[in-house]
Amino acid sequence: MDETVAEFIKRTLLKIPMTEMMTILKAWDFLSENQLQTVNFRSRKECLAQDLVLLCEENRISLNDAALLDMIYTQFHRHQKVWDVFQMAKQPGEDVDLSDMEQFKSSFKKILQRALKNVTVTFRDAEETAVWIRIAWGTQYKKPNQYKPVYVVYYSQTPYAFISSSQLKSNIPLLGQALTVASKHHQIMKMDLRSRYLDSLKTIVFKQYNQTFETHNSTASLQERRLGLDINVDPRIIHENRVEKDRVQRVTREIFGDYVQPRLEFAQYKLETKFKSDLNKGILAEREEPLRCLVKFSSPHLLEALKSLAPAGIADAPLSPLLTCIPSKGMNYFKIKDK
Amino acid sequence: MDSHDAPESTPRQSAPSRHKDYFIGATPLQKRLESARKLTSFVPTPSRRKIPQCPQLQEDVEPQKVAFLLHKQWTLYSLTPMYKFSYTNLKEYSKLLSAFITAEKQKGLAVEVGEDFNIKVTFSALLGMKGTQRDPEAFLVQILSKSQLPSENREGKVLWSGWFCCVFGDSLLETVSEDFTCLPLFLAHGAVANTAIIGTWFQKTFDCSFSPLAINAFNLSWMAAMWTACKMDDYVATTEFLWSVPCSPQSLDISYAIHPEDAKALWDSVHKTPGEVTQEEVDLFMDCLYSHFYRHFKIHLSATRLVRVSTSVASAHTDGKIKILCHKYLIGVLAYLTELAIFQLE
Amino acid sequence: MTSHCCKDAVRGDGEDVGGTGLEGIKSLLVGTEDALLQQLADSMLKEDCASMLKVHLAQSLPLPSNVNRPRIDLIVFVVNLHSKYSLRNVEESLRHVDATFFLGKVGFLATGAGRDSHCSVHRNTVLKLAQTYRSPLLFCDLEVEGLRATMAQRLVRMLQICAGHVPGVSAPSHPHTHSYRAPGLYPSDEFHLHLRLHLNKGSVAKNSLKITGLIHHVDSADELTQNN
Repeated sequence: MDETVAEFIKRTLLKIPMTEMMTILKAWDFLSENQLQTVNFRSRKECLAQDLVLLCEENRISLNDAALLDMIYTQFHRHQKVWDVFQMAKQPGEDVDLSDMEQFKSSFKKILQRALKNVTVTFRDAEETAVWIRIAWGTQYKKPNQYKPVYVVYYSQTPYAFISSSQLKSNIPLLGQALTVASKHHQIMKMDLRSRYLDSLKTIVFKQYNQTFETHNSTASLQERRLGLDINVDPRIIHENRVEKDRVQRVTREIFGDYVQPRLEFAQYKLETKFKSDLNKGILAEREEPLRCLVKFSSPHLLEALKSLAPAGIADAPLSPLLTCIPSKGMNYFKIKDK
Repeated sequence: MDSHDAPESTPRQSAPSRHKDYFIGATPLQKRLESARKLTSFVPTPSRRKIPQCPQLQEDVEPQKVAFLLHKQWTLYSLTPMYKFSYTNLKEYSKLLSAFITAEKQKGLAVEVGEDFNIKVTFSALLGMKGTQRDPEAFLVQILSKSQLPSENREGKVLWSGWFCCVFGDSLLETVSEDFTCLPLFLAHGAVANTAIIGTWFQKTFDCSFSPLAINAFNLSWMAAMWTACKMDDYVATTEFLWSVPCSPQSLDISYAIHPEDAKALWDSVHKTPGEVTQEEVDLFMDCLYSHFYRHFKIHLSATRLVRVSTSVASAHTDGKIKILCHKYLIGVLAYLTELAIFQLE
Repeated sequence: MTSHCCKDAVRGDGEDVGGTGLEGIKSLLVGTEDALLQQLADSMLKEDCASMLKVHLAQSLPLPSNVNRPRIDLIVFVVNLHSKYSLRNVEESLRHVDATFFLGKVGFLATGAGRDSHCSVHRNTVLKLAQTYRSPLLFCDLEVEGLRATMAQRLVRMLQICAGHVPGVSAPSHPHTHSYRAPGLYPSDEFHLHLRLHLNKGSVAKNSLKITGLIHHVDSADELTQNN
């Protein structure tokens, strides 16, 4: 077995938390039950990894098998990557072609291998006609770098693909081309949508809002909030703004729905708009040029945070459409200019 | 608006020569009344400040010598006056502090865990880091790693730096007797463990005490306005604000960056009094930013907490962190920080 | 100075005669900090008081309902020192208060002073506001349960006085009759609240005595002393 492959497997194994080790190895399904039983899973990770590498050698592990292990690890830890969303388009008039998955895979691989002699491409089928693709880039002269792979999650019945953000940007056009051609599309376009939470991106793009996503104690908080919303039963407290408060709740619910929101970490707005203020009319009155601003909202769960603003009195209801359109437009990068 | 003609601070009676004693000796009732008095009395706070200009004492401020102070994040502390500190003993202090650190390291309060090297401590005067001639001289303390190999440079890597200064500290200087040296502003860069050890030594040796200096939103707004008001030849950084929104259970941060030329244009439109910044102007400047934001997002930024302000002159964080980017206005920035430090000492 | 708006968004009694006891005591808390107001109201209602206490909560003035304007005994404007927005809201609301209320039926409560690092409103600003409107100012971090409970006690006591439920004591009737210290004339070490002690109910009593109280950050039981 190649030394580099052994090193690669070992490093991948060391990344895996002990609590997940068994699960991931079983999902990998490369080592048999018997083989796994011979290993002491209570030993230190270094030792464990060594033992497992020896077993892999016994089974004559290939680079592709090792790459598959890396991919499974990433599938379990998909939040460690930042995902961009790409949308493909067919020629106008062309029908949706229920292309053969095997054909897609072989075509995709061929295109990349033709362009760069050295590239490792690994596939793994996932739920709902999705396929995960792992690509390790090399060049004409250099072997592929297994430690900086790019992942693509392609839903074959749709024009959407999710690609993990990587520092090696130079290969993205090639990747896009390979995807487009192999899936029998005409062009590919990067959407202004990016997040760590792949499942949330999926639901935004496929408009499946009513599901449970990468919840972050959200069921608990939903209950808390419901209790908070209960109108105080003590009749000695009179809420003068009851009507307005109810309106705010109603409007917020209409905009955001009753379900948990898809999870995004940020939204970014590039503004080039003139300064206009009702209260401060004189300020910058003669200035023709707009103010160049960049506004970024960050949160562990952006849409849930935005949803809580109006009821908390920090924002008006309805919230600005610039914010509420994020899921419906499938964007979290915006460029806003005066009309 | 918020304009208030708060009376200028009247000269105080000389405070007891040992600040600590007053508070130690106070009964609980006295302490409570003291804090009550603070809350309900008007606090002298300037309703106007001068826009920082180029420092008058330029002869001693050589750009190269103070270059290392710039582009570094410093953590801020206020420091009570030091008893019987002498500038002539700097070499001795180096030795004493060095020995102290080594002793602490041996006790297990390691400076750097796992690394074993020799360290050297230097005390040096920082000339020119003051506002008036009355201000005491600033000085710098550094922990350097002593290189093991003789072939390498004598001066090893700087592991930790801290400097003490006082810029326009008249209000404090007046209240303190000759035995005390007033350098109320302390800036540290490096591992927190080191800062703690050095702090302990100073506290023991000079009977003083450090407190972390936080900067609240009110003062951050002032800084933003003043630094935007500074005349710059070219802008090295965008003007940026960071707010923390008190919503729950999820936290939300809003960052608002504006092109520095546009920020300046906005400021110029707000600014009326030449050479000075007033409370009304600060409020109006911030209000304009709030209203521009509100127009787009319908969110009341004024209900949220400003935590960070960043301009081409300097950037400041509410946790008491500062980074000075512009040599020209170094003294101006230090003057404001000194003011905050002195205020905290009261 | 106070803008004497003729709008009476909230009806108030000009004379300092308290309620008959049958209507109960009504206070109005005005502020943007919904959760804090709710908690304060809860604390106030927990206080054992003989009369029926009702607490109205409003975000701002004027009140939305024009039909049933309640008779209010005390308005407390709550300013959160961490939020400039809450200050602006109170400033706006003050313009809608009938002038007669400032004869002792208005108070200010500033919360958040304990955490100075979070403050975007300077203490002087609320001090000046309170002095401008000749009304008492209380500091209390409403988030802290103990402090809030003590403040609730104080407010209920103030309410009872304002509603005339405490025999012999009534709210200050007119600014001129106080020896208010104007700011700047004296070093303001203490903020004085003067209550006039009437020996019998009537506008001006012969043996009126002045009471000096120290309004301060509440961290213990009520220290409003009475010199008799």
